[in-house]
This record gives sequence, C-alpha cells and structure tokens, in this order.
Amino acid sequence: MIHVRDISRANKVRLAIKVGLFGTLALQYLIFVGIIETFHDRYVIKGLITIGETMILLIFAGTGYLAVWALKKALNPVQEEHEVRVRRSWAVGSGALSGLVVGASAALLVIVNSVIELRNVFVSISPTLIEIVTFGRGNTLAGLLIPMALSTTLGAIGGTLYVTRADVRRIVVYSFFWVTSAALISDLLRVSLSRPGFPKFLSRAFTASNGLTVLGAVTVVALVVAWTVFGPTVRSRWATRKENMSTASQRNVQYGQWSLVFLLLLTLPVIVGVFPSEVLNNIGLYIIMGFGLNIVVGMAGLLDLGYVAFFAVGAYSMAVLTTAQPEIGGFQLTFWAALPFVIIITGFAGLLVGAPVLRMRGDYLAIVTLGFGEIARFLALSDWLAPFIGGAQGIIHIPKVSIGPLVLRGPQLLYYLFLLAGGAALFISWRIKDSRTGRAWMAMREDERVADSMGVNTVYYKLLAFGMGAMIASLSGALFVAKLGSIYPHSFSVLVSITALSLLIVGGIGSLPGVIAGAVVLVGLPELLREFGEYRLLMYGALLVTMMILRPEGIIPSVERARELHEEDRAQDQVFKLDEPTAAPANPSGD
Amino acid sequence: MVTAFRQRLAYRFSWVGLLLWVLRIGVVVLIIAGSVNTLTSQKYTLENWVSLFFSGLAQGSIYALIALGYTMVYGILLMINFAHGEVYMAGAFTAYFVAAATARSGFLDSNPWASIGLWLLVSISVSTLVAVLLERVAYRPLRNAPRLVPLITAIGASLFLQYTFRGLYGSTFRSYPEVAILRGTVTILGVNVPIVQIFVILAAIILMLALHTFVERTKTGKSMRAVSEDKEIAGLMGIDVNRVIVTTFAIGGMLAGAAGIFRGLYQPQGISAFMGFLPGLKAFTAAVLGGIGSIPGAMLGGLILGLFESFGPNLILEGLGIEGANQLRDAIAIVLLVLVLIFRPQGIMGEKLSEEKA
Repeated sequence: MIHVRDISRANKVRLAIKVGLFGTLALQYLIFVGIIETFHDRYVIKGLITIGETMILLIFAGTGYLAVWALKKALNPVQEEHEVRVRRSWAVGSGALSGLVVGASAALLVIVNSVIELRNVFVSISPTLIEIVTFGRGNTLAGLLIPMALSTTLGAIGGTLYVTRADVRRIVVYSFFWVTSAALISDLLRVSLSRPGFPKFLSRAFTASNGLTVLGAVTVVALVVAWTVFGPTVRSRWATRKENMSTASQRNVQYGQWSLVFLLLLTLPVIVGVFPSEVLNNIGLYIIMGFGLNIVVGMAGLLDLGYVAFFAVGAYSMAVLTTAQPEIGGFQLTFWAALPFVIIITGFAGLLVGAPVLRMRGDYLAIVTLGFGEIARFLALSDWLAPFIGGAQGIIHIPKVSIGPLVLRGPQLLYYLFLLAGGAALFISWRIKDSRTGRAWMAMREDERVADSMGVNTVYYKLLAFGMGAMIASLSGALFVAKLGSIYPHSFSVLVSITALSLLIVGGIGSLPGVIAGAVVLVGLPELLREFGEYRLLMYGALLVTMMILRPEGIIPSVERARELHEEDRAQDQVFKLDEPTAAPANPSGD
Repeated sequence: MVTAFRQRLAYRFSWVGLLLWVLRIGVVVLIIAGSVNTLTSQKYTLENWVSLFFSGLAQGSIYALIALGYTMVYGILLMINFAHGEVYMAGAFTAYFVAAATARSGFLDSNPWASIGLWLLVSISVSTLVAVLLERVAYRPLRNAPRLVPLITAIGASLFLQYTFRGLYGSTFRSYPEVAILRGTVTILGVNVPIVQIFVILAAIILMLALHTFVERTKTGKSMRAVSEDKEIAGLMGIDVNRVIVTTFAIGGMLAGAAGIFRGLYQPQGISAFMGFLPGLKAFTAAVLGGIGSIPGAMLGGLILGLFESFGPNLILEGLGIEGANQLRDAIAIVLLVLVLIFRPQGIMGEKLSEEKA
C-alpha cells in the first residue's frame, strides 16, 4: 500500500535549506581546514579534475541526496511499515534548493574574502583556494555564478539519484567511489603496472603522473557496470555450485582459498615492489601492536593509553643490546640473541606498570597509563638517562638483522620478519582467545567482582594481560629498531598509543581480523597518500568519535562484543516481537 | 572503631600490597632525601624560593581554572572530558589574533584594560562555544553508553580539535603581545615579583569566587548540585538535566577561555594548536589531586600542583643529583598524578567515592 503524503511547501523549503546548511558546514569546514587545497595537487583524471574539486562536487551532490532522504523521513515521521514515495519533482526541487544553499555559501566566501583578507587569520584561504572554489574564474561574476549553478545542478542530480532505480544508483555511486579510489592509489597502480612482466603501455594508458587517464577512468566505470549487471548472476551461480559439492570438496575449496591467501602473503613484497613493501612493514608494525593491545584492551578490558611505553621499552632494550655505538651499552649482541632478553625485559616492564594500577578501573586506569606513556617519553628525552639510552640524540649504528649468512637488507626482505612476527602474534592471540586464560580475561572484562567471586584470580590475570601485551609490543619495538637502524625519542609519542587504539576501535575491539583491517585502513592508506599525512590524525579523531556514536563494535566486530553493545536494542526487539523465538533450543546434553 | 582496627589487622598479605608499600616509602624517602640535600647545599637563597613560590602560584591558578572544567563535568556526568585542554587551546589561540590586531592598531597601548577585556571576551566566547558544541555533538549521543565509550570519544574529539585548529590557524607558534602596564615588578617580602603574576593570581581568585557564589547561591547552581547528586531524581524534580549539563560545559569553557588569556599574558610565547594537551593533562591531575568532583578541591589541587611543579625540579630532583632537572618538570606533574591515583584516588578534599564512581 502506498500512501502519498504531503507536507506544506514552506516546510519542504525549510527542510531543504536546513540540509543545505549542513552541507555548507561540511564544505566550509573542508575549505577552512585546508583539506580542499591540499588535495588539489592530485588529479582524479589527469588534466581534468582534481580530488579537491571532486570533494566540492561530492558535497554538492551529497547535499541534494541527503535533502531528499530528509524529506522522505519527514513524510513518514513514525517510520511506518509501508513505503512512502517521494515525487520526482519534489526530489529535484529539494535537491536543487539545498545544493544552491551550499553553492551560495561558496560564493559568499569569495565575496567576503575580497572585502577582508581572511588569510591573515585563516591560513588556508589562499588565492589558489579561491581559484578552486570558483573553478578557475576567480573573483568575477562568472566566478560567483559557476559554483552556484554547479551546486544547483548537482544537488538536483543527487536528489534524483535518491528516487531513481536502485541499479542505476548503484552504478553511479560505485563508479564514483571506485574511480576516486583508483585515482587515490594511482601512484601505486602505476608502480605496480610498470614492473617487469607487464607490457609498458599498460601503466601509461591507464595512469598519468598523478591521477588516472581518461581511459583509466572509463575502464574502471566499465568494470563497475559489468560487475553490477553480471555480478549477481555470477555470485549466485557460484553459490549453487558450492552448495552442490560434497563436504570434502567444499573443504578442499576452503583449503585452496587459504593456501592462495598464504601464497599471496608470501609473494606480496615481490609483487608490489620496494616502496609499497615499506608501507606493508609499517602496517605490520601496527598489526603486531594491535594484537598486543587487543589482549589488554579487547580481551581483558583494561583501557591502556600508554601502550607506547612498552613499544619504547622493547625498542630501546633492543637498541641498547645490539648497537655498535661505543658509548652506549657495549653488549653488541645479534638481533636473535637479544630478542629473548628484549621480550623478558619488556614483560617485566608490563608487570611493573600493571602492579600499581591493579586496583584501578576504567577511566582512571586509562589516564594513569597515559601518564606512564608520557613519563617514558620524558625519560627517554632527558639528559639524566642520556649516558644509557642516548637522550635526545637517540641511538644509532644498530646492525641489520641477519638469518645465517643472509642479511635482511631493504624492506622487501624485512617484510618476512614482520610476517613471521605478525603470524606469531596472531597465532598467540587466536589460541589464547578461547582458552582458559582468554575466558578468564573476558569474565574479568564483563564484571571484575563477579569474576573474582567465581574463582578467577584477577590479580594474576590482570598482570598476565599486561605482561603479554607488553611482550607483544616489545616484538614490534624490536622490529621497529631493526627496520630503522636507529631510534630517537620522538618516535615514541602518545600518538603511537592513539593510533594503536584507533585501529583497534575502527577494526572492532576484540576482533582479530578487525586488527588487520584497522591497520590497513588507518596506517596503510595514509602512508600511500602523502596528502593524507597531514590530516591523518584529524581523520583518526573524527573516526573515533563517529565510530563510537554510530558503530561502536567496529567494522569487523567480534561476536561477543557486538552482542553486548546491542543488548538494549535486542531487549526492545523482544518486547515488540514476542512471537518470534528468542533463544535457540538448549542442548540438554551439552557441556 | 574496634572492628575497623581488626579488619585492618586481618588484612591479607599480598605481594601487590607489599609492592605498594615499598613504593610509598620509596617516594617519601626520595622526596625527603632530595629536599634535605638541596636545602643543606645552600644553593638557593630565600629570595629564589619566594619567587618560585609566586610563579608556581600563578601557574597553579591557571591549572586551577582549567581543572574546574574537568571537575564539574566529572561531578555531573562521571566522565573525563579529555578534550577540555583543547577547549582552553581554542580560546587562547583564537584570541591571539584579536590580541595581535589590538597591538598592531595601537589600541592595546592606549586602552590596555579594555584590550585585555576584549581578548577575554573573545577567548571566553570561543571556548564556551567549543565546549557546548563538544557536548552536543560528541557526548550527548553517548549519555548512557558504557563508561569507556565516552572516554574514547573524548580522545577522538581532542585529536579532532587539535588538528582542526592547526588547519584553521596554521602550525606556526605565536606569541601574545606584551602588555606595558603588566610589565615590571612589585616588591613583596623583599622579593621582586612580576606584576603579571600578581594579576593572574588575583584574576583567577576573583573568577573562582564568582564561580563559588554562582554554584552556592543561584538557582542554576543549585540545580547543578542536584544533578551531580542524582541525575534521575533531579530530572523527576523538574530540573532540565540536559540544560544543566550544557550549562556545566559552558561554565567550564568560560573558565578555560579565561585561563587561556592568562596563559597568554603570563607566558606569551608558544601559542599553538597543541598547547592544550599537557596543561589539560596537568589540570586533570590537579582535579584528581584536589578530589575530582569537588570544586574547592580543583582550586586547591591546581595551586598545589603549580607549587609542586615550580619547587619540584630544584628542590627534589636536583637534590637527588639528577642532571637537567628542569627537563623533567612536566614529568613531575604526571608522576604526581600516577601517585595520587594509586594511593589516594579520592584526592585531598574528595569524598571516599563509591565503587561505582571511582
């Protein structure tokens, strides 16, 4: 049953303007913080449109889309079951109007800037920026009209997109997404495509020096269209084939998939080349740290904001034990001989931090560990300890790692070290998760007092969590030293802890695949895109806030965690859906 | 009385308890040893100590003003507003541009008090706005979430604000213009004390008195106290809890904004988007030291922390023969925070918090 409802025209206009103001906020934020201009250096399609311009256009269209979404919500305020359809003319109108508001704000900025020199205060409002906003026309009448005309048109298109056929919408949105993504990693694509083994013309045809070529963009769009049209049939055919297989061959397929993944992991540095291998190593560094922090935060529920301290202890003990610098240490062990000591030392550091904070919980624990992290940095910087750990000058001349006669020089060989350590950390986390220890940690996380009274030795398990977390961090610290060949105190700022925590939260607290996904997204992407570098932490901050508000369980949630966070929703569902079975039938002979 | 004593006797021996006692005794021994060493070495004169006292007090009153924001929010929401340091930064950093403009136009020299008033107005309004927006956007949707969730949000908001303001105003360090009438010194107890220190201390005291009157005497203050006692009951009694919470954030923001200007007057150099992190952490220390949730506690905690920081390096660390003691000035506050949280989490003036609050 389709109800056509209406709200008054004045209300529709008001709604569209309101959404337009939100779009304005987004646009002006990106402009004033300088993101638009920073991303103006890189093209989506070489010579045609830059990423900064794409952002502006995306906001124009997105505002229109959102305006229609809001309109639909206003037409159906109590979320009734039946579908409410938004008339196409309304969609075009609201979209255009809200887009116009955003475009007008851009024009207003240009006018204001010509009266007052905004640059004296806001460093991002440069002449280049004005050129970007007016699409090259500058402070002229055309320059003012163009953004408004563009925003109105794109807003209308965005609005129409909301009410159009689903497959058309999918094609437009996915094409846009994949073309932009391909443009963002075009440097990587270019390097990968121009490696020996590929014909030379490939890289030149699809990618330009920074951005895609027109042909490249068209190819991506064609792929998207093909996938949207043929994808569903291919997928369903594959699924039926898999269903018809015997269990044995299904298992074989699974083994096949896993060995493919394994093979890919082994050959990755050879495939991608030197610079991307470096990026992979940095991701590996944070994956290892993420696994360690996951034990402390995800499993045992102890929010540790000073995790960098253990990373630092691991790195510094490795550096002191192996360095060839005569003033410091004098041990000159090899990496492998030093590694056990490093792990033990850092494990003790974990116990040392863990012991005094045993009786604290929640946010106090977080702040105290944050304090420990800062103290570690101050100590590393101080002249007081300089004779032992180098002070502000750091420690240099740390030898390369070697396995037998093979010296691991360069990121491509070091990658295997990271793979090994990451694999070890993953294995430990995976095996410990459902073991007695893991269950004790989870019990403690849920309710410490209940766990205590059920016979969980909370002191022991808390210390164990700190110790194990520290040991895994020491692994990444040791690798960090091996990678750089020198260390300086400024590498150990609170931002390391925050990065590790962010990747854990974005991936999903307590979820092992989440750690990997989080590290790839939060560490890998910004390293690939030099423009991101400056805004990496801004992005982390925004991500932390939005994730906590919208999706606290992360992108790849662990099962228990998601259940826990949505307990309230489920309780409500149960009130309204009493007729549905609420619990699986219990297994009477279960353990 | 007797049972309590028995309970204490029956206290089980544990390694952790032992470790804590060793730590406690160790800290006390180190402090005494360091102080005695320094004092017997006669390295510093009485004048040195008095001037350290005043600079500590001035620095401490800035901490106290920021700490009030932490403590009031904690008192009501039981959450650490980790981004409060950024609220302080936002005001100080924005008002810098006004300050620079007044200095350029000569208005600062002709009307110094009006200029400082103008700076304060700008700084306070920006800080208040940021604090209120922060509450509205980042914290309100999470009012009933598990306790660590708002803390993580707050860390995110803190990063976000730091880098937003860096993007807005650039990454160069700025310096507040010098105010002619605050230059120079007055003589107290035979020691020359900079006027600016006296000004900062007095202004902070006036603000704190105003806050005290507000909380104790006005109707809004009364509803703030009611909400901090019990949110739900206060709501049932007809108090608009959300409004009270916003008011609390706004007042915290105002005080932080004022603190930002005082910081600019007292230490003109080094205004940047990252100026809020350490003072924020230290002000939190001050709030915990005084007893988090207690307003007089935050004031006292701020002053004590300021003094500790000012005396600590010279009195204790140098006495222990640590080189470059002043480099460790920032570490002192954090060590103090850790020690207070370990040994006396309820602080100096705080009530013994219930399990749920602590």
